Amino acid sequence: MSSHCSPEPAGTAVDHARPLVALVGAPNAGKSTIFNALTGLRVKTGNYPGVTVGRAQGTCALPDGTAVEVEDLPGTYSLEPISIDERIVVDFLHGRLDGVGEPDAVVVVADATTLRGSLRLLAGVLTLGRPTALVLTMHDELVARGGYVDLNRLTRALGVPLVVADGRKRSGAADLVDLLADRPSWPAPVVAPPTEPEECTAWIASVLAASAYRSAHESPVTARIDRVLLHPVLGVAVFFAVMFGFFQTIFALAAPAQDAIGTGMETLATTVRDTFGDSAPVRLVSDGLLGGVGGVLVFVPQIALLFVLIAALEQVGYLSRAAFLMDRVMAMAGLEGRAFVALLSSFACAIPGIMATRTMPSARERLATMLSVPLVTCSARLPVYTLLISMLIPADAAWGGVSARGTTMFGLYVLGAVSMMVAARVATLLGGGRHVLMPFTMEMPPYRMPALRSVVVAVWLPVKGFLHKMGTVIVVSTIVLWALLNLPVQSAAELRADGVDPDDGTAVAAYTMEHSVAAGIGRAAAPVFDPLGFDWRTNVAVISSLAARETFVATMGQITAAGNPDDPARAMRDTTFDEGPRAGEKVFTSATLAALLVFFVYALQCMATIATLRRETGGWRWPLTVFGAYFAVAWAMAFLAHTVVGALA
Amino acid sequence: MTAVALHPEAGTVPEEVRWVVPEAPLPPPGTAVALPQELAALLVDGTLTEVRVLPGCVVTRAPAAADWSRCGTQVRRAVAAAVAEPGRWRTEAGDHPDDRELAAAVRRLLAGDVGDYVRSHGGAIELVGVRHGVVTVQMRGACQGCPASELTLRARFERRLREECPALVDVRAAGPRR
Amino acid sequence: MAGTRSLVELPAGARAMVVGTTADVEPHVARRLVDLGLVPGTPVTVVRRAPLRDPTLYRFADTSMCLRAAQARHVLVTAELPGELPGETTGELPGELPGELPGETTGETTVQEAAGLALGVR
Repeated sequence: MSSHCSPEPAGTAVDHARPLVALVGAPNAGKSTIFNALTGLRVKTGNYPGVTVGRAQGTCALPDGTAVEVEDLPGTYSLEPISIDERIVVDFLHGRLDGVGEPDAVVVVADATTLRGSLRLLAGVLTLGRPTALVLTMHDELVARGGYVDLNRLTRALGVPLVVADGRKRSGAADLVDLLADRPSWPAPVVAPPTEPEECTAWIASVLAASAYRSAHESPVTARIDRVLLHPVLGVAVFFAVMFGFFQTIFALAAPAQDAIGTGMETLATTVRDTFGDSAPVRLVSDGLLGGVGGVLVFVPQIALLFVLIAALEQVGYLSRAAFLMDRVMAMAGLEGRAFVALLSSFACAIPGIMATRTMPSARERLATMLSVPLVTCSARLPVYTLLISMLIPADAAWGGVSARGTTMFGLYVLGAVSMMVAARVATLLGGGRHVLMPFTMEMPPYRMPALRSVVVAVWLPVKGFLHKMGTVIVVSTIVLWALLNLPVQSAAELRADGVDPDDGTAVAAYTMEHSVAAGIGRAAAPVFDPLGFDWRTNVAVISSLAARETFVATMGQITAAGNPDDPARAMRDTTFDEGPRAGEKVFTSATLAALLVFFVYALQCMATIATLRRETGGWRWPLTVFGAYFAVAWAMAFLAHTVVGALA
Repeated sequence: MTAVALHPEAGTVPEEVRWVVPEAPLPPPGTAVALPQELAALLVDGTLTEVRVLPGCVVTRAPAAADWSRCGTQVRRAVAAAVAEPGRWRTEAGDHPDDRELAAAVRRLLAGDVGDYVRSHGGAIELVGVRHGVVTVQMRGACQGCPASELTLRARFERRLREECPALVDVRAAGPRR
Repeated sequence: MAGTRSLVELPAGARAMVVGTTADVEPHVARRLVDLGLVPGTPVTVVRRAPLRDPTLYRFADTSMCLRAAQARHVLVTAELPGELPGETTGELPGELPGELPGETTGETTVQEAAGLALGVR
């Protein structure tokens, strides 16, 4: 009760000064569309305290100048919870959720074409005794498909206020806002509906009969499209075509924007250096801060585009079709069909992949997916793989007439995907002890035109969330890493004493890095990485890649080739151990390169991913656990690769 | 056997609840003088003070409106059980006290703005009769066969009538005379 | 019960009526099946199976719903129902009521019949 009108992130506290209205509805009832219509972009997203259940809360301004907080509860078919998400809904409605408060009113959102099912949920809500209203969506669709319901009789039979609000039409939303302002006059049913399932079935039958309800015909258009899209051969072909297009769009359309952001930030950094001179504090701003901001911004086009595609595919109804086709495959990983979107997105980047798990209704599978998708080969691994493979395998090498380099690259992608499946399986098995196994149920909605407004909201919220929370974590970690690699600052006298020309920027950079805090850490980490064949410079590059994997390439270039940072492969090939028992030996043997490649397959070297995991799981426990676990696996697998390749070579 | 489908609706006065039974046959309208045991017991122990049958529903009256939150489930089960045995009911038909008032309200509305609206569309609504709270009307002129006439009947006529006379049980449209 | 079998045994395109759940079903699964509308008396149509045989798309209670075999095997159904018009998967709705005239009916006219009539007027 302590908080006041300050904007606070969802998941901590609620503004208790405003009345709280809960939106309840079955999955696909159009709840989010109603929520968007009520709250627009004034929405806070996050998780419920302590659980991996996504939460959205917004403010709805009423005509009388006051406002209500609207809580978009997870979709549920009943108030008999069998999953964490449904438990959240029930606890929320009972006012038992810590730090969240009690709802002052409940709005049940029901799809008119599937009213029979929604009335069961409404019956459950009505037994709670809170002020309740019903919003009927898809009423136009019911009528268009030959169905009918007498709204006046339905209102009378239910005993609660009813509003027809197809979210695609604004008029319904206005009626709902008026209704919310009129809460004190909401009637309640004279006698609450029965709870016992058989009696409830009879109550539903009676209400529907009294309101002359006639079901809609199954949409003939949907049936016709499904004959193709769910066809064992054609459907699978279309699925792969859609996924190919999806993947291509994310890469091809986002790439120019990402390049532009990268170039823009570089230009800005150069301008800063040119304007204020090349000193350490300036470098902190130009390289550390601007680099960090650029590192965050560069993900935005991909995230935005990905969510446009996901929102459009979901609203059209294709996402459930794809999940239907893929469910059996995902089941092998202990997941369900809906997890494949996250998997696919993660080929671009694990961050949108993790954020895409919000479409998954089961908290347990959502967590397993989030924890395992960082193993999928993301685009940041690509430059690292390219560099290491080019060193490991000659360009003209061929296996059975196929380029050995290409095959190795493909193999790494497969290794990533398979490892992800195994990790998900392990995560679901480990999580299985604490949760009941959820039955898999997924509704196939009819094909519908996507609503532009909902797509915009679906894109804006994740992007805003990403910038808002991730920005701080990523920027701070980038600056820290920059400091580790660039401090202490070497004076000109020190440089000259060691034979480095203070005017040779590249040489100074290499020297600074060699004497930096990070180098100290790299040397200290030697006992850990020695068995993998890494030298201290490799360790530094691996540590620097914590900011983003592709930094490995640049750091390796800087650290090994004072003279020629643009061709790191060549410089790395000639690199020898400069200290220790193996001094003089080549560092990057086949065994070490293989170990590095495998290390990059498994290690969770990405601050942004860790920050996203922290945000989406609601704490540091999971990101730190998987960071440790994946590091251990990466080390073990790299050691294995080092040993095997070393024995073969 | 599956339970008889019924649901409660608000009655004319807060002490009364209408149990709408849309699918099962009911005894003839009137005040119940003999009932299947479970429902009769509620009259004996004072939970209910009166049980009446109206077309399509059973009206139960409790001593006070506040009683319903307590006895609602019990009464629902008793009514559902009793409705399954219509042969064991005996009802005494009497004049429905509200029929005269209802008929007057219908005439007022049809002479007033609801009638004006219908006439402006080239149609007409005629009162056929009122019995046990059920108003039967005949749609004439342009209304006949017009898809919007149903909406007019429900959204304008029935809604206004219910506002004026909460005792209204139902509005029915007589089909075209064959 | 004689003549009943599990929902998973039905071929694609078949129609049957739900009669209950198997004895070995876990309570939370049974409850979910009821929540979805798989209550006794509900007609179910097997729409199609996924390319890898699982899950299967069913149509019941006005919705198209995917169930995995692991859940569908717990649903007991009658022997196949005769096929009906596509989309007509609802059993007890008043759509096919006779359009009786109120003048010809007695005092027992039900609200349901009135609803049928109301539809007839349109």
